[in-house]
Amino acid sequence: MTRDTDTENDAGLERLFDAARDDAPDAGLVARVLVDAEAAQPAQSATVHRPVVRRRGWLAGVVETLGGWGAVGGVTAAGIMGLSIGLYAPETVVDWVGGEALGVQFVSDDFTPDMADLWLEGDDV
Amino acid sequence: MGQDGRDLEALDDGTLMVLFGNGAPEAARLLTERLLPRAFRHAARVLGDRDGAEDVAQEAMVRLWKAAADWRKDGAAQPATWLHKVVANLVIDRLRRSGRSVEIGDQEFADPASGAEARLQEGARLSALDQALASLPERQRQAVVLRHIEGLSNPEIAEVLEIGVEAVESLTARGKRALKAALEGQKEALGYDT
Repeated sequence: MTRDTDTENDAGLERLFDAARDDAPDAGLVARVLVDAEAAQPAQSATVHRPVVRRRGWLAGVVETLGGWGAVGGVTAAGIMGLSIGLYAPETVVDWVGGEALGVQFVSDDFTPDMADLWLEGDDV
Repeated sequence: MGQDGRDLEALDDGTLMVLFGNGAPEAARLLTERLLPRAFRHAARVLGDRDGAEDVAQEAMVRLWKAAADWRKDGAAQPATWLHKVVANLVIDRLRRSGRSVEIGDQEFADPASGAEARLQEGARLSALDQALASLPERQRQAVVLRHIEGLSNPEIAEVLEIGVEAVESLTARGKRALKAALEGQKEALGYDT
């Protein structure tokens, strides 16, 4: 066998191998194999979706106790108002509310004792 | 195909086996797509009988599905090699049961109803190849099919046929020479000169 003939035969054989590589199972066999697979396959292990539990901070506990962030907002506003009333001079506070609140006229003298009265006892300091 | 399917396509066969064993349905489709053609071609070329090859390929795939439950991704076996080993044993059993170790498939691989010339020629080529393969001893036939059609390495073929690598080299070399000799004189019919 000459070298050329040998090469030619190799090429021809390779062509046959190519044809064999392209040979595919028909759709009926594929379908049967997939049915077998389904029958043999164990049920998919159920994925357990556990609720994500986050640790609550101390602030969240306090907020919840007070009735949520809405309530906290009200408490905070009242606290700021109270602090302001304590810090500012009575006249200023009366000015804020226009001299009246809930139909009650504020008279500063009624609320704030004269400090001098606290210091004096029986006209003695 | 959904995102999950596209993600699975990037996985190797061993990982898909583990997923199949865990119940992932998409793994079955991908493994069938990748491995069934191998099993079918191997059986078809060694048996020379398309119907018999379908039976063998289906049985081999059933065994693959059953093996998936205990498949270890880090194990030594590759699913394709494992499957070829099963096919090799099934075809040997079938040949021995039928009392023949060599018999050619004279069955037309081309669908006569199709009328397509190309398909007829491909069918003729397959038929000629099967006839030539059938003239080889069983082991040579298996070695040639696994090496030259399925592209397995010599160590992989050694694992499939449970023989040494040197024996594989000898089988494939002798098998190829015998094939060429068997096909001599059929050049024109097989389109060698095209």
